[in-house]
Amino acid sequence: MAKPRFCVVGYYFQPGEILVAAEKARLRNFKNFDTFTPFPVHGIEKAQGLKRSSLPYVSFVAGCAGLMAAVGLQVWTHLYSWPMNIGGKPLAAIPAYVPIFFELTVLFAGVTTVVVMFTHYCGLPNFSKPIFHPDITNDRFALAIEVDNEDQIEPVKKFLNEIHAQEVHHVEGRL
Amino acid sequence: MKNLLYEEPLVEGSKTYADVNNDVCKPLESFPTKLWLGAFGIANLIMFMGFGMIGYMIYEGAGMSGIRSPVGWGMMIITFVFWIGIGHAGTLISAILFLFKQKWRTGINRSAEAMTIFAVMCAGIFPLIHTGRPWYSAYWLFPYPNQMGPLWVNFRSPLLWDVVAVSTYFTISLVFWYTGLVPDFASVRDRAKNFFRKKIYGLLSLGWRGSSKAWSHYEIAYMILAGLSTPLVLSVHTIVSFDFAVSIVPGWHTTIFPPYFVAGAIFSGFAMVVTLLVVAREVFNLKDYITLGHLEAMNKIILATGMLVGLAYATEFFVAWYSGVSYERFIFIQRAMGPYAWSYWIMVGCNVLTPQFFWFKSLRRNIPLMFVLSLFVNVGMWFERFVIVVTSLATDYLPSSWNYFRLSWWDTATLIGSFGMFFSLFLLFCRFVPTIAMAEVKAVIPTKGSEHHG
Repeated sequence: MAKPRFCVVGYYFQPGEILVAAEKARLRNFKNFDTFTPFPVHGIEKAQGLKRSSLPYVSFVAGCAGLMAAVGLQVWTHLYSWPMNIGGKPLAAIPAYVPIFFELTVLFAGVTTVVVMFTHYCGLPNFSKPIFHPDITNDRFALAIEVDNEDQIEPVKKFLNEIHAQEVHHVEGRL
Repeated sequence: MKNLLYEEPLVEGSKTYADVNNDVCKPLESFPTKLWLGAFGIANLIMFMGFGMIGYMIYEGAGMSGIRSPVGWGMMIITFVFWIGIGHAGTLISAILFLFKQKWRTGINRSAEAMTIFAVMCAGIFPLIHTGRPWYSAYWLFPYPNQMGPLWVNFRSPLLWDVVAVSTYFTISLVFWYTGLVPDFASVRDRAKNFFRKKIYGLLSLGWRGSSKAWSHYEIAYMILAGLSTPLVLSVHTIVSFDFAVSIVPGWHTTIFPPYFVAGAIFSGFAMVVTLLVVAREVFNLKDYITLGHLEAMNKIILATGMLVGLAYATEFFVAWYSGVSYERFIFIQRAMGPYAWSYWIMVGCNVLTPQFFWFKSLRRNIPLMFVLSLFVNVGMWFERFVIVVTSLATDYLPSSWNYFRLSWWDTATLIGSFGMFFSLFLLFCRFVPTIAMAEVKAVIPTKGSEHHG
């Protein structure tokens, strides 16, 4: 069995406070820490040192795939699978295909973006990770720092108290 | 002098973050009121009556409907376009207002998006019944490999574009709505005292914990979805209008149709949002979140889009005259003065005249008045589609086949039934889903000075 890990969690009640705390945690170079907030707090990415998400590239590729699928489906059916001559007009009538080009591009890009965002980027669905406090989705802002062994819990708690966390506790589990 | 720099607060009553959760989740956590039960019962009754009618109509055949040659598109297509139009306000609020950083959208976007989804569901029923044999629609509507030929749908047909547009619209709206709901489902989960409640909302929330790492990706995804939905919402009614505009029927074959339809859709959609929210904010006690300011902003949009629609009506007439095409001229004279003139003037009265009240601030903030006007707009927009569909078809190129179109009793009943379905779904939504986007509202609440929470 893997060695148990612990999360030390400090709570704040204002978005401004969590920004300062996240910045201080980043400057202390903790290996693994994260903040938990009821709503996205502006500037937290910078305070916490998070890189901009690479999700737009995923959307772009998915959108291109949707476009290709629409081109392939329409051109192939009308050119090879079931050619229909309508008044001698070109078999591959590109202007008439444009609405479906657009729709499938949006469909693929939109659905893929959300599915990849939740599964790959956010690691959801995941029901086993600890929920530190039920009020995090209500009005609490938490700074959680993961530590490797029990000895490190106390120093981290001390650090959290130093940066004005209003409540501090620890739980077993990974971040 | 009035302070012009004063900005109305987006949320009234100086709420704290916890107040938002308490207020919004309250209807979800208390036993349904008699009012809700009564409304839901009636809506359900109407819905099942509608379903019964549809079942019987499918059993007997499409002849039960009022469609007779030459009017081959009757109530079904009118109502389909009507419901699709209703949906547009939701996407406009959630996507376009998001991109324009209109913060007032946060109070109303959740319910408007729900309305979009339910309206598109109602819309989807009608073309299916209209086919007469809905069980064949799998290969009529969607391209799937089969052994009949190969037999494919015709990708050059606007009707097929419409199928793809509407199903894409529905899917993306649903995904957008759900994405917004995930953090709020987590809030409901964390408040839940009941075991099953916790499990069900826990599942729906996917285990969301509010991690900033997750939020950073989430916000990007939300932005991308808004960016994708913005052209989508404009495209859906554009493509619906192609069903008409790509044909060569006088009165339909005009290039003004796409913008005209989109403006009309947003117009009717906002009217429906006002109708629903005026009631919902009262019943669920959400007046601090859906403020008069929100309603006023929506009324401004109703006024603007109503003027656009009025301009489109005038432009159509001008172009019919200016084109010099005798068929086109004839149809428009028929619209205003022919056998369906009554419907034309209902349309103009409801869509062009009623919004004019909203020029005045006091009337924009008058709740009973806006409720009544929004109903008028809804009626007017149904009649707009009636005018478009029926007048052009009833007096077609061959005078010997002209016919007067009447809705059959079955038509009227299914139309009313679709309202029953819409309200049933909306009432369920109000009971089981947070009607206000809590996480988004919290982000626009002004933060107070540092204070400890007792």
